[in-house]
Amino acid sequence: MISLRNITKSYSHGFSRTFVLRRVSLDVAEGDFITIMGPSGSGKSTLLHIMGMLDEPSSGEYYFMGEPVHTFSDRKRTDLHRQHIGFVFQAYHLIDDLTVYENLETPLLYKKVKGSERKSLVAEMLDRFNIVAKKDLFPSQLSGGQQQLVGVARALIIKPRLILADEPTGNLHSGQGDQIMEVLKRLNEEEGVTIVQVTHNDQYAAYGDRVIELLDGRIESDRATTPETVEGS
Amino acid sequence: MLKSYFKIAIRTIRRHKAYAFINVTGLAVGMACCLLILLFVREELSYDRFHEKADRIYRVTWDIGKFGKTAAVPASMISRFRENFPEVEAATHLTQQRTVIRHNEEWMEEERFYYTDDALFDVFTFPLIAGNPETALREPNTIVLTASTAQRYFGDQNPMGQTIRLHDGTDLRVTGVAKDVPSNAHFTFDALISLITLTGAEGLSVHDQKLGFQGWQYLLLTTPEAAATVDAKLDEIMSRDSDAVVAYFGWYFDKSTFDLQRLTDIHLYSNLSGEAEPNSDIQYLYIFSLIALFILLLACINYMNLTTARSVNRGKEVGVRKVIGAQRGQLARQFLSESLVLSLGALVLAVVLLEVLLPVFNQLLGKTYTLSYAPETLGLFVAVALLTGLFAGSYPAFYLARLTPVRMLRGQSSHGGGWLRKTLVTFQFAISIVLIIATLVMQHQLSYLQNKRLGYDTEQILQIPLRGNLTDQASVYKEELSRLPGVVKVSLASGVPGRGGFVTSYGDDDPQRVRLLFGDADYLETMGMTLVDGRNFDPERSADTTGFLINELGARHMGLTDKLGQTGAEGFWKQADIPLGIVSDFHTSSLHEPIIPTVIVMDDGQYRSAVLRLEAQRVAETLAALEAMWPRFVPDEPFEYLFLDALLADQYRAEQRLGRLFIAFSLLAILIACLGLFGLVAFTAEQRTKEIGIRKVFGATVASLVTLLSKDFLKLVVVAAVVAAPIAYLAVNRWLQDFAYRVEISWWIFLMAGLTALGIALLTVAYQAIKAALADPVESLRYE
Repeated sequence: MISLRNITKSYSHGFSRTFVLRRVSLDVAEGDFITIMGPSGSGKSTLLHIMGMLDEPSSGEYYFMGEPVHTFSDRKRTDLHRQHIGFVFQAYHLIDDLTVYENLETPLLYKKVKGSERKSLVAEMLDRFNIVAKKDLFPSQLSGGQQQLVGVARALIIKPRLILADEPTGNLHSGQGDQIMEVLKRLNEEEGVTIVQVTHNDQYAAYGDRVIELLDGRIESDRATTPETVEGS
Repeated sequence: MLKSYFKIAIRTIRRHKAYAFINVTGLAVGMACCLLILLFVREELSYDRFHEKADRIYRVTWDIGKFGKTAAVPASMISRFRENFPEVEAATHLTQQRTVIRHNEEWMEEERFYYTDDALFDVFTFPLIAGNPETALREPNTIVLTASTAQRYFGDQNPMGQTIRLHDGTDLRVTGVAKDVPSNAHFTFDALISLITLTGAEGLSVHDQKLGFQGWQYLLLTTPEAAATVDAKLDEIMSRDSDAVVAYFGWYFDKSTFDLQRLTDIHLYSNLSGEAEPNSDIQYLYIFSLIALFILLLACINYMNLTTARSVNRGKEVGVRKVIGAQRGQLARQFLSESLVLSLGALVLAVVLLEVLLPVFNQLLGKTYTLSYAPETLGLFVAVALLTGLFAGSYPAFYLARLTPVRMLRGQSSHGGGWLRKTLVTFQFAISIVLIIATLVMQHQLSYLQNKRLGYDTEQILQIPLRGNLTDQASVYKEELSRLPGVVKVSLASGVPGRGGFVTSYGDDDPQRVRLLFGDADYLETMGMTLVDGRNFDPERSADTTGFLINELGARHMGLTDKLGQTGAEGFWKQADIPLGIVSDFHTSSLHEPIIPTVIVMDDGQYRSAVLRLEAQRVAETLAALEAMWPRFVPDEPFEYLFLDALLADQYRAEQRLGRLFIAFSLLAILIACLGLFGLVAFTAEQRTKEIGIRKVFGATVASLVTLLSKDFLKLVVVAAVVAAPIAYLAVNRWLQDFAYRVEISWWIFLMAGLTALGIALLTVAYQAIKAALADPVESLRYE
């Protein structure tokens, strides 16, 4: 599904250059549940953003479902990502001025989904995450866990093939964190949605089937969480 | 989608009330100003277009070479147009006489009664409510009233067939009632009297030689293009008949020509002598439109600045929306709808403001506009609001939509746009300062105009026109006047300087204009003029009617300074050819015009007024005594008088209006600019809360913090002043060129304008800066 080849990301500050990612190559297959780990500043988030087409690599090639994303225009990339990719953030990033219902509806509006279909899709999500009662509340009126549920629901509503989750449990206490991880796990197993998550939490890393460790912008290790996966990079 | 855009817009506005308030207020003031001026411009452009055949109507003008161009032409021209020009479908002649009407034992001085013929109704579209346009003005002693004049004279009675009596006893029969003339006409009549009343049966041609019988002539051409043909033919006739014209009218009509002027051009492009009513000037439209545009621009800039400054707050939302699939275009549209909602909200407020401002505006401009909510007016309003919203919103929309999601989601602020914001603030203050400078210079010039010594006294000088047979017993009247207790001095004269007398010429090869006034031996003393050389007229010497007084300039030009008392000078009037004395230069026209050689002659036959100097302490009772005395001399006319200072004040009414408008506009500009600055500073202070907290913890004083926050903005105002000064200088200097006598544009005006702007900006900034500096650092740091 995703194939990264020699992805490098660097910023220049005057005469010096800072490398965030150095020649990272990585393949993600359809249906994978991958966890990216590593200390702060190791490039986890940048890698996730590049996969999500929110950021562009400085060099290297990126194929998404066989398509050469690195050659695409901004608009075409946006098209691709909004068709196939859902995001979940540590800070939830719901839109403060919109109700739960409207937050869920917004991605569909951008995709120009018809009104009636929009309604049923949002209703389905509200139902599925058990938040029907909260649909008219604003994010500030919800607990962190509830907000993150809405965040996941919003990511899912476009029926993405890939979900990118940037420390989805980082701001939650363990009970809520477990609940979110269960949701992601079920999605992966039952619907075959590919998931790439960034986390610091070893326990949650175990939900995935593969762990990639980054250090100083390089892939330090790439190992399966279950014995049968071959180690290597 | 659209619905969602607007929903979000309204919620955002509600959540950020202070910010929305500043934006809506600024936009509303800007729009109200702009709409006001738009209404004014639209009205000005609509002049005379209500005539159905407006595009084919032309006015005849007369170019008399050195004596300038006049709108009034000799009466006899009309028969030429009627007989010799197949291109002329109809031609009409209008003229005015002093019209005083005796009605219900009261005198009514009517200033807008015109004499004309029924061709007027063929040329123009002045519909009659009653009466037949073909015949209403055919017979002598008939009159057509407008509806409101009829109401004024006859109330609710049927005016048709009623009579109106002129002061000389002539009865005019009402033969028609016309609809009131729209306000957007270059001349407005209250009544039309048949021309034949004035000319008698022999018609206009007899009045050729008199020249006194001039009037306005309007032609209805067969096609608009025929104007060129008529013009060319006129030139041909005039050059062919050149000798005849000169023989007929006098040598100074040599090379005089007639031209055609488009009816719809009169109001904005014509400023000839002898206009029926003072016209406007297209320049004013340009100036006002420019100002309207600038003030609206100021408001738009506020919006742009405040919105982009808030990009840090909005940035997170932009990031999220991009992540969940928004394209730049969609985001831009969302922000545009927000600015549209704001601008439509501002429109509502603007209309309220408009209702409040309109009476003030009317007073400033001397107009009587009312706000009508006709569909096209509303359409215009909405169009202005939408354009404003689009314009003000465009830059922020594209700016915000361009933000990259990754940076915004990480909470990094965007530092871009800072220089642009600074440029825009500078621009705003530059405009404000230009307006302040213009206002200061205008007020300076206006006070100069009002206070300049004119070469005579202007206070307590009264002119009483000699009416009826008073000219025959003028000396008796003068005698009686001078015996009144409150009267200091009386003189018989053509009038106060600037009223009466006429312009003639001297020198054969290169004739120059010279102004001729008539006055008796008391004129100089009454007016307070100074004799610098020679002597005044002596009433005891009858031979002094052959002498004249001349101003310094004239004496210099004609080389008369050392020829006082000698004969042989060029005669300007009858046999008056001895320069007796030289009078210190004095102004006979407004200060737009330079002084020209001026001559005073003593001639009993030319006195049209009594000029009086009154005692300042008893003006009211003297006036009453004068009025009481009047009917003994002139029983069949009302008593009229004119104070010189009132007459002079009238000369600069246009400039005073412009001056007042500029005060209003500069105040608005400053207000809008400060509103924007206020918002911007508040925002900056908020953004720097943490920095200020840290600085305080490390011992910064309030003063140093206020300086820190204010410095940057005040620097911009200084830059703006530097930019504004040369622009203002050029603009104001151009305006001053209209005056032959004008003030120097001195450096202190620039300094004062700069300091004013700086002071106001400082007050605006200081409030926010002090508020931020006084905040408790513990609070602001914990907030992180």
